[in-house]
Amino acid sequence: MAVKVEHGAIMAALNAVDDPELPISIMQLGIVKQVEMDDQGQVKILVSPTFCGCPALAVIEQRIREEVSRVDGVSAVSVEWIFGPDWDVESISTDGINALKAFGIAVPVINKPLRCPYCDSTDVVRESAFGPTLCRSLYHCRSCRNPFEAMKWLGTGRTSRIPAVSKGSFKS
Amino acid sequence: MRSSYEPLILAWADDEYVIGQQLVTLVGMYGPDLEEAIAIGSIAQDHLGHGLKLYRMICTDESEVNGLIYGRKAGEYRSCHLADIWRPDDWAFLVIRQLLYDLANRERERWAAGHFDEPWPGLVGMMLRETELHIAHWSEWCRMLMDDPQGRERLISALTTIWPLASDFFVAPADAPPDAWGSLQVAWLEATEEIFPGSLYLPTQLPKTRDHISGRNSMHQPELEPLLLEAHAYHIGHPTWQWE
Repeated sequence: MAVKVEHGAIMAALNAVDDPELPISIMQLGIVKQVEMDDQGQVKILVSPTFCGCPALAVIEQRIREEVSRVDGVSAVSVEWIFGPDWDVESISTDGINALKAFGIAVPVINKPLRCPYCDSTDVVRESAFGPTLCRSLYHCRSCRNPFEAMKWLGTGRTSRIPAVSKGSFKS
Repeated sequence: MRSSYEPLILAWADDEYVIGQQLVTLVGMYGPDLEEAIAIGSIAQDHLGHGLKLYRMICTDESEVNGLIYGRKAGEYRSCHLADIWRPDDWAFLVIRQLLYDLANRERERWAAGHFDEPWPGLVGMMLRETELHIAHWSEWCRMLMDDPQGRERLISALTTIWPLASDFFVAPADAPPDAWGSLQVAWLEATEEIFPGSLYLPTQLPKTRDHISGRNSMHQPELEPLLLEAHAYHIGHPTWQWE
């Protein structure tokens, strides 16, 4: 007799999949867009990457397959990448924002000044829109004088919402 | 995607791949400061990511993608002269070339978003917002260089070399409809006029590229061949490896 796949168990499995370049899960990052299941235990996960050239996609896909295939009743797992301007920093969950902040990575909030993850000051300067991974930017806090990173704001496909770059002088 | 757009997509993929590989060679060794060296690596990843997605758009499997990347010699690539040309040791040259290319590429992405069938407009929209970040980045560098007398001099010198080659971007490959790119060049010229102040020498008319010497038809700038030989050295030594 086939075991019925529990939706909650699939979500728990996905929550155990960490992003290889960030200290949060792919659920917290907000890249999982849809989960489909049928009576035969076949599960399909639709995922939206943060950037076209993200080198972590193959690893994420492999980890999803490994974790979801361990769930009782799952007979097959497929992962489909949806390429579109769907992901932005607004997709990150509150838990994810807090975990990133604890790691020293700030998350911009639309129409609010960016805060240093170490001292909470808003006296910060963007050094470069391009950081060590495609989804991060480089900042400097003029209050506690720490360098820090922030998730790269993409403006949800609407470029007018991207803050103007002003190297060394942009005050978020 | 198998369609009349295939020659255009191949040319586009080659542009992105060539520029991505140029920037890769600079990672860790060049940039006015550490932040810029990091930025170059990130922008290179964007271009290579776009190139890979475009190759996959016209291929049925990964071996076909690898064949397009590694199985062709420089003379078979379709990249334009604006993508081919670069000076690894000249920062102003890189800044102005990147900016002119990204402005043209943005017009091409906007065109594709309105012409490609589903699901490709979504992918193109994703590329577009990444290109906007590149344009903001290179525009800011351009402004900083123009504020400095020596930087401005170097920028104008680079522009004098690059400008006559820019129109090659808009040449359609011989196996594509002659007017395939539509009015991209007009939109691009308007975009460049918005970016550059009137005091910077920038003729509004581009010298027209003759199709038979175009990169789109495999007549390339001399920089392309050594770049590809270096980029493909690993594949020559390990031909079964896949690019992922």
